Amino acid sequence: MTYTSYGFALLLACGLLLYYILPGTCRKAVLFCISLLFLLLAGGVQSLFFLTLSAGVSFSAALLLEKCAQGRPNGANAEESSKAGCRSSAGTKMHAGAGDTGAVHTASPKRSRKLIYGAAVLIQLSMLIVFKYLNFPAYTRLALSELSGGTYEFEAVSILAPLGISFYALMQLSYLTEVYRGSEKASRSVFDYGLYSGFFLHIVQGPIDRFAKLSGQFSALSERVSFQKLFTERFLNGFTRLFWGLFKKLVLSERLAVFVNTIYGDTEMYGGSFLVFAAVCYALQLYTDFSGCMDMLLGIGELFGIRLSENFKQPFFSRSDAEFWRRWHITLGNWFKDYLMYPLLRTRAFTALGKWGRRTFGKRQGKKIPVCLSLLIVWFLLGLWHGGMWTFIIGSGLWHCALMISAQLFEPLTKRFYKVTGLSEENRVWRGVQMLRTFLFVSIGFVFFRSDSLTMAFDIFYGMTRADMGLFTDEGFLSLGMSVPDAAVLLLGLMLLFLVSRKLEKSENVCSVGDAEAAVWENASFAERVAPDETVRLLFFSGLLLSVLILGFYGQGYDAADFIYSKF
Amino acid sequence: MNKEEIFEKLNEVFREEFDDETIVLSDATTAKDIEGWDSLEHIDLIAAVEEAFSVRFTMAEVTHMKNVGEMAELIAGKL
Repeated sequence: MTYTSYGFALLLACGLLLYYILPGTCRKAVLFCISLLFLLLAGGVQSLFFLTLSAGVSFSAALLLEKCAQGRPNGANAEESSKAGCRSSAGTKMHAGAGDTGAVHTASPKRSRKLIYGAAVLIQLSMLIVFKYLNFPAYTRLALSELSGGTYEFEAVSILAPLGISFYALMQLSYLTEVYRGSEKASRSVFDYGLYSGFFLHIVQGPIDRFAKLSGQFSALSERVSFQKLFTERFLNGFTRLFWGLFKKLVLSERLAVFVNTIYGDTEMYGGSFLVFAAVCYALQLYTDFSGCMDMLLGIGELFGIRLSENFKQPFFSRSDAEFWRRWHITLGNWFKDYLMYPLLRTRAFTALGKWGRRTFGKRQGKKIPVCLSLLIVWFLLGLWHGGMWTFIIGSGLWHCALMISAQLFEPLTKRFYKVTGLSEENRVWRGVQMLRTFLFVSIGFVFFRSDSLTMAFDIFYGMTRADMGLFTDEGFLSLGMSVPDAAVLLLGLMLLFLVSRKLEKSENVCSVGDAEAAVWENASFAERVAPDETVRLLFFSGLLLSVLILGFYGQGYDAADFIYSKF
Repeated sequence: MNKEEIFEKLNEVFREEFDDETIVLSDATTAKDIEGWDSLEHIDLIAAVEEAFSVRFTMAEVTHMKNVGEMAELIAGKL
């Protein structure tokens, strides 16, 4: 079962009906049942088993961590008390029977907390490694062999990974770390934690939501909803966003896929113009596919009165690679920032490295050394998270890391450039050039991401240099499997995407001002931002509904490809 | 050290870190308001603030700090 299947539509319809017909106190149970059914139908019993195991470990470990932190000094949080060697009564009790000395009593809760946290993290990571990275060493050897012209072959160990393991493993680690740091309370309800862990709207491809954000919303589900609020705020806004997501996926992404699959299906046959065109189309396909899915899920969330985290903020309006990654797959980036990059930069080793850098290269440049090293580690792991293949590690990791490190190192030159030329950073033409440059750079990364191997990616780049303007002939363009009317629909759809993105971007700019108007926009839903007037919103929704029904790629004999990110 | 004194010192640290003498902090100042205050600069800024006030923030505080007002409150609580 996928989010675009008829089965899911039926499950959603029945779920919504029960959700609003039954008493408010049953709503959480309805969501739990939908999630359970979805998990079983989409991932099978194996997925349910491993999710239960993963969530069970985190739930129990969090309770133990909290028990261990009880009785800490007033005002100190768990992290501080842990560092200070918390004098926990629970911890003392745990070790009293062993006949430990007083000194051990004060140190053991700290050790216990570390041990519990470490063991729980290890279990989560082990599951991830077993299911996703067993073939990584062999793939690495294969990549090296291919690049050096060797003939290494291997038979990949084939284990079917449980549904959504890459996403829920990060959510479990986030919860454990927050409880360990003392910034979040451990959940005491198996039901609540189970619903968070297996929630059907984020289990397959995120967003990677934090427990604190969702648990509060789950608790408020039983509140009465007025008829007016139900139809305007929830149904109109929710369905508009749901159909905007379907529009992106079924009308745009599936059409773009026709170009991409045809050209990447035979990269030797197609020359320069085709390969550049395919790279651009793939960047747009990946965006409309992934962000389309997020729009659908956030829209469905609104139908149930739940707000999931935004994962995209008009990434193609970014003026640098760093900005792009603050707007693309936001929840993943935030996860790596909060749980890997910041802790890494706060270690003694990185602090010492920073001090050495300042002494050796001066304050401005020297402080960038630990930052660059942490970027290298974080981006390697970010790429690896997508899968144990070097196409991902480079395409979604090291390539962007190289761009960001370059931006850091060349910062003095950039400042000098602006000073010498007198060019304003806010110059509209220059902003456009920067956006185009960023788009081209990220498209290069996506070529690796889409390729089956590193050699295929390098062949594509080499092929781009072959002079071939065939794309611009009628024969060449029509050989890509797309009719002229379909291409026109795609073009018009992309124009609509641009207009909607620009509207959203403008509302984001208003939000950044921080005044009373910003506060209103900050809480506005997607549909309210795109069409503030209710009649216009209704028209927008009707247009989307008709477009998806008439122009979408779906129906008998056609199966919309799974969302690209669902395979991670 | 009262709130005004904390803000005065914070202003100095921010101006030095971001090389910008025009910075004037308020309770509501966030990373959006100061050019160059991004995730890459955040930890460096935190280290400079810690050094200036001789305090130490926990990881939870570093990641959950919402604005300069919260930062000043945390500092006041630690002095």
